[in-house]
Amino acid sequence: MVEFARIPPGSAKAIRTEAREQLGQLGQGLRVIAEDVMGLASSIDLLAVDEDGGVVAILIASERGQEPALLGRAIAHRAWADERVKDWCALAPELAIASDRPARCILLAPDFGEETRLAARTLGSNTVLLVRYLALRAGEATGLLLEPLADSPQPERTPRQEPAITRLSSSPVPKLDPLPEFRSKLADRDLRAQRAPTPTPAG
Amino acid sequence: MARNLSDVLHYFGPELAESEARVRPADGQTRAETSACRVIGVPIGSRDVVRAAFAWNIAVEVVRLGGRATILCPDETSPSPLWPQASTGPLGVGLRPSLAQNLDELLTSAQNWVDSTVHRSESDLLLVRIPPEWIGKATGPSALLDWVLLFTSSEEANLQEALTLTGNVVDRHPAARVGITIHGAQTREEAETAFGFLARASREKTGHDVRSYGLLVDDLDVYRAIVAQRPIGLAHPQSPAARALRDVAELVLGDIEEDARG
Repeated sequence: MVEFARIPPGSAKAIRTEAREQLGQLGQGLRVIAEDVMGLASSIDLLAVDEDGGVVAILIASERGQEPALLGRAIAHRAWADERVKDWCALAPELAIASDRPARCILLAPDFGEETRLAARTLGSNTVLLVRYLALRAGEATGLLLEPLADSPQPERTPRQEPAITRLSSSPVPKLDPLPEFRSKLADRDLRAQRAPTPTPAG
Repeated sequence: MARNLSDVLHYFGPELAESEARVRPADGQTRAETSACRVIGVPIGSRDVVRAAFAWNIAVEVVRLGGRATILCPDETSPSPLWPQASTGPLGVGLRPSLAQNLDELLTSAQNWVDSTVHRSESDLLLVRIPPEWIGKATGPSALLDWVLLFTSSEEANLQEALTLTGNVVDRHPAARVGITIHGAQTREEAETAFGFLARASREKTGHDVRSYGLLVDDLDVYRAIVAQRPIGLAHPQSPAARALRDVAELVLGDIEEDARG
């Protein structure tokens, strides 16, 4: 039986490395394209592209209390990235960035205060997602559990479901329980047929 | 949404050996299966002809794939609007009425059928229609909830309904295998996303993992089959609806075979 324990999250760099590995937990198909990128006046921890080609600036608070300032920085980074998206598309088409999608932000922090939560809600969907992280030790390995806040605005497009935590950081690498997989051999072409309106099943 | 360590241990810890949990009857309960017959409870409302049609057609597909299938249906009226006339139907798919008035009586009916029938293989299947409200009224575990198959569309209201039903099932029968079949999705991705939502929500709210049993197509053939009381797999074997039903039947039979292998 593997024993579990909550542990201190480690240095800012360690958290960033860990978070990068665990972004799959968010189920948004995020591809990290750059790390520790200098923005307008401070660095962006991770710059990623989501499955729709949208740019996502990911900022990480390594300690409690940093997140209100982080939110302000995130909004500035978002505007900064928006101004450069067209250039990035031209310079690196292989990144498959969608130039017409506004950038958005994901904030990672041990927790978020009420003011930050309210501010994030006010900013609306597709602007900022608040994600709490929790460092855990499972046997000899450690891992970060990422948890989007329930009251944080979610991207309008429902993300494709991906398995949750896939691995921890140290060796040996135990598998964490992914969410159950969707099972079907059917593809979209198998679903194409003349359709009838779906009646509401009655109880 | 505060969570403590105990709430998230399921991300890390090995699940309870599901097969072990599944076949072990709850304390004081009669087993609703023998080594050669599996019982799946299917919550279907008394006027829910669409889900009843899915269950019946899946039973037909099980038979077409080499298994045997019977549906036990506790219906208040006769003939029931849900099913074709009770008897041995196409390909030997049987419909057996029951006078049960609650989950305990339904379990007894199922047990009586299992005990009185000669089962020839591990693929013998008894699908039991369970009125959803009976689950909420159950006071404890029931072997009829060992394996439950829920049909839900990808619409939010239906997903919430399925989540509530999942919670009701596992509250009363923590070792239940809760299967989810998505119907009515326009694309595979829509069905996959709907299942993903339900899987994540179930884990978060009930601490229980649901299992995917594919997707079903709500096309005209389904409704024609309901009206004509003819199985889709026989009337329109090449239709998308028939292919989808067969896929779900294969998943069910595959799990039965896997369980039999231990």
